[in-house]
Amino acid sequence: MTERTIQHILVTTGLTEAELAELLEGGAVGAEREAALRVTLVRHPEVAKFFAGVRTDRAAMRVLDQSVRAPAGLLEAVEIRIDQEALRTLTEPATSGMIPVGAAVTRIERRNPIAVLVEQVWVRRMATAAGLALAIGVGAWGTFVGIQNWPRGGGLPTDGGAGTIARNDPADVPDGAAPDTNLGEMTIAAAEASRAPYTALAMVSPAEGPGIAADGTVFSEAELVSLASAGRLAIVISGDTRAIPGRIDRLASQGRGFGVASVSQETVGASMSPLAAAMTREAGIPRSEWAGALRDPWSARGGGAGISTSRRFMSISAGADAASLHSVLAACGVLGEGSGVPGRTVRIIVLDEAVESPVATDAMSVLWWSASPAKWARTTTVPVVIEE
Amino acid sequence: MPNAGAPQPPFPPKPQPPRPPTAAPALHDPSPPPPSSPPGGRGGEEWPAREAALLARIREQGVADRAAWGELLVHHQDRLYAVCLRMVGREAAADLTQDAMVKILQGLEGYDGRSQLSTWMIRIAMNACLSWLRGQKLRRHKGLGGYEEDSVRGLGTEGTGGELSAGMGVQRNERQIAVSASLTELPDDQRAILILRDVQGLDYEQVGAVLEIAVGTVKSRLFRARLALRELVEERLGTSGRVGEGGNEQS
Repeated sequence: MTERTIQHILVTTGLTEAELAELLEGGAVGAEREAALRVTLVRHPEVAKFFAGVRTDRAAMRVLDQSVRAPAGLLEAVEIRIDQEALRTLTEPATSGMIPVGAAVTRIERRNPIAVLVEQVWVRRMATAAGLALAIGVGAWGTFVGIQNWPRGGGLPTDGGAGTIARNDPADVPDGAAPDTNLGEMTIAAAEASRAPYTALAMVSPAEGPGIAADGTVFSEAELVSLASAGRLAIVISGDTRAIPGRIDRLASQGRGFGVASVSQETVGASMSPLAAAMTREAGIPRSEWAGALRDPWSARGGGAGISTSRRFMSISAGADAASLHSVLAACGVLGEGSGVPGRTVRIIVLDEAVESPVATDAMSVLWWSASPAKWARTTTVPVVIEE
Repeated sequence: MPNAGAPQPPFPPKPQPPRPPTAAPALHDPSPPPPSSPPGGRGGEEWPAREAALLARIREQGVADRAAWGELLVHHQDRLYAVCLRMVGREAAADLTQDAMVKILQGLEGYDGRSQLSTWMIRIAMNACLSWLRGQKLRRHKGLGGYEEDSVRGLGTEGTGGELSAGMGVQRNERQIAVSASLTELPDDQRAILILRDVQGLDYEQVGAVLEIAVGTVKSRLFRARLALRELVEERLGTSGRVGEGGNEQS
């Protein structure tokens, strides 16, 4: 079947290629033209063979792919691609929705020069070094400020803070009164700075927010953040602690810089030894000497022997800011809905000496430097002790 | 109609049943119409309504509604893969089907409903294949390497132990093998139009919509493609005299 034959058919029958295609599939082109084609088919056997051949070809093609099945995992791969595209859309809004272009087309992207710089290895290294220097500087500054502002000696507040600041006044608590463990109402301080090797014990008032030192000094949230950043803040929870681990886990699962790491006994005895020592000393302080003569929640445990035998140490990582610390305090039952649970006491211990508590490790805590500099933030860890 | 002196036409009038194999070919193709529902897809009367409901969900919730687009793609995936398989061969078919599906999902919000959804999807898959083929040819032209045409041509050898045949579980005869192999040797545009019309069973309008050409152009190109395929099949079989024998010769 040659081009010449085709042309012959087209000329003699007056049919077009389109009409021939239709006829091959059984379409109608008109009686006259059909008749002309029939004559042509009779006179040109090769044309008849061509028609028959096309029909058999079509029959063969029709069943060619009827059993073809897409490979397994195709949709899963598509799902992954869709997720990747969505992420790319988030990070490259200017190029989202672009359809891949052909080889002859060049896509010109205008990129942020800062982003280009950040991609350079040396810039990242310098940024890392600068970040470390900054962290050390801020830490030193925080330590310095903490030391400078730290209350040493002095009496309890005597001014108009009454009602919000607890006073170390035995008259406030009648003899034999049941311990008031409602933390929502009270602020309590304990231990004179001169007697305790550590500077102060403090608790936080849910009503007021700040912590109160033994000498009645009120700690603002900023100061607590500074202490936490310096590794000098610890939280000890005792009594009814059943809900605490779950609350801490939920906090850690939020991400946003929060994390929790368990602390081994070896670590407690090593890098966290200042905390362990402080707690040992704390246990030796007669409860009567705690500022808790004012509705002392620990007095019910009797004397100074109110230390439980089972302690669970953990370390909460959080951003070094007031909001993050607020969340940590809330998770520990100091603030918010979970505070003021009868039978539970929470002490915030401010240490003389910084402790190094383990940092919760996840991808972002290790690769923080790989994120956008805009997202860099200082973090801190707060050791938490659950006494059961 | 032929006159009385002329030899009788070797085919029966249209209403009559097909002639025996020894007769000349019938003018009209007596074989059944091409499949109207996707191979492997869940056809049936209820599907269009289901498809419309899924589309509405996707338009409302976007790709977040994974159940909806998953069901939609599952219905069409075999057909999309078959198109890609015939166009580019086994090695690249899965990747290009995947590309096409991603583009389909990204473009579903812009689907205007002027053509059937399946036609629109096949158009995207076909465009992906044709773009890829053009790119590969450009790479080969520039000496950068490119796809091995054998990967496409290999589809024609499935009857001799190729994976495709085994995977399909289909026993192919000599003619099907020859047709399959010859398809791969056609120029891309001719292969595309034959795949759409004769393999996938799209009607002229749908083929035109996929390839973005007029229906008249579809028909004339189809004729040319069939002519080219015919010659290749004849060469492959080496029995040009045998091909046309028996108008009812079935594969």
